[in-house]
Amino acid sequence: MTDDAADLTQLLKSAWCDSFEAFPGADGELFLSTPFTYDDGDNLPVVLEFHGGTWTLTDRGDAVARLGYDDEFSFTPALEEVARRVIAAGGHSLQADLVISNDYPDLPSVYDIADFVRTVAQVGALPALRERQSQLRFVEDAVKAVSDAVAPANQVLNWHPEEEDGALFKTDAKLVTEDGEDVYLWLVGDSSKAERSMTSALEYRRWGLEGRSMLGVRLDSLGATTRRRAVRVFNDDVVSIQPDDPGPLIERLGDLRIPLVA
Amino acid sequence: MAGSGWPVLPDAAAQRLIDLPKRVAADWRQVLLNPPIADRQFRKTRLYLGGEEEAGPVRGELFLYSRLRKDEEEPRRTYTFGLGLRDRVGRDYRLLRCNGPSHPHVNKVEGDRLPPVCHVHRITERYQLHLAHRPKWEGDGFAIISRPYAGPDDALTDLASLVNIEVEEALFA
Repeated sequence: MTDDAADLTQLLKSAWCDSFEAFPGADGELFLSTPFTYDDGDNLPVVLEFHGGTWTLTDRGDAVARLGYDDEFSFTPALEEVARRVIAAGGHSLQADLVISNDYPDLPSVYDIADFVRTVAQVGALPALRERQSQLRFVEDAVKAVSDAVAPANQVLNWHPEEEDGALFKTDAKLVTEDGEDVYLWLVGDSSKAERSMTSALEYRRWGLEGRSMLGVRLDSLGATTRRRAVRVFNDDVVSIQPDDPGPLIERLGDLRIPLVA
Repeated sequence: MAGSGWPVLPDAAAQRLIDLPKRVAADWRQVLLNPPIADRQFRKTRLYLGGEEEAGPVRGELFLYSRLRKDEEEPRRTYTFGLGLRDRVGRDYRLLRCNGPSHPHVNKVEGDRLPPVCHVHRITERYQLHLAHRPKWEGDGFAIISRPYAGPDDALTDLASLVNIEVEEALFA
């Protein structure tokens, strides 16, 4: 068995190392060929550039671009936000032009490169989140419906209190009634977002923020326990909304004397 | 039938589809080089060729397609021009495509690596079977190095030759 392990180690080392290669590009960059490939054999994109004393690993935008090979896949702003978080969790960043990159003062180590490949691979898994995507689209549509319906002067989308940077306790919209009362609105299409919304609403209260916390939710997306807790946390200010029908929510906002556009 | 539920397109049937004369309108190059559909990074389009082709267990309509990176500086490297078949239930078989030199490629069955040079992918039975355990696979994982393209226009010329494109004469020219 010990001999087998040694043989296998030798075999893997040889085959594994052989599967890596750096190809020089026309502009001095290096294209890294690795054993990590898409189904069509194209390498997960890893390009090493050197500019002004800084090394940069970049995918040149190919990771997100490949998602568009599937005509049924839509890279919505909500999904971009998910991608951004996944990429940030890997220590890298997603630029405005959808390029994943990271800068290094020294030549990136093999582990830096491996981490970069892992992040690129994770972006490739986003289509598998299609169900999640439909939930995100539900929220996006609901936010847009609210934004379209409420007078511009009485709404701030993606609002967060000054007490934090918005990473944790953001509300989808802060609306202001005719009487000057703040209404913090969360729009929810899944249990995870419901949990975050409840935590945020409780934090707002703890910070002494005045105003009403309100939940617009696709109720069939929540389990019974989460529903009950949401009703308690939001003091019954829970409005059930269905995809493509934000009517009850907008009606409720009108009842609260939030100015609506005609 | 492959494990994925996708019927495998036999090599001979694929080659027959590739060789079949394809009549296209005079503006076909213009359409594929300036695709009307754009997302944030790419422009892309499809030109369906009409009719229905039978290829072994697969029946469907042939189409030409293109995908080019938007606003890429010269020399342009990121583009694809190809021939595909959409079967009756909406599954796409990519039969052959000409790629620009934007990325390296690996022929996973054989284990050989292509540097970032222009290359042509072809669907093969062995690559379809290699990935047949996947719910959705790319059967055109095999590629060979092509002649170097001067740019998208040149790659499209190569595609025209490889998949036998014939331009229809204008009726009242």
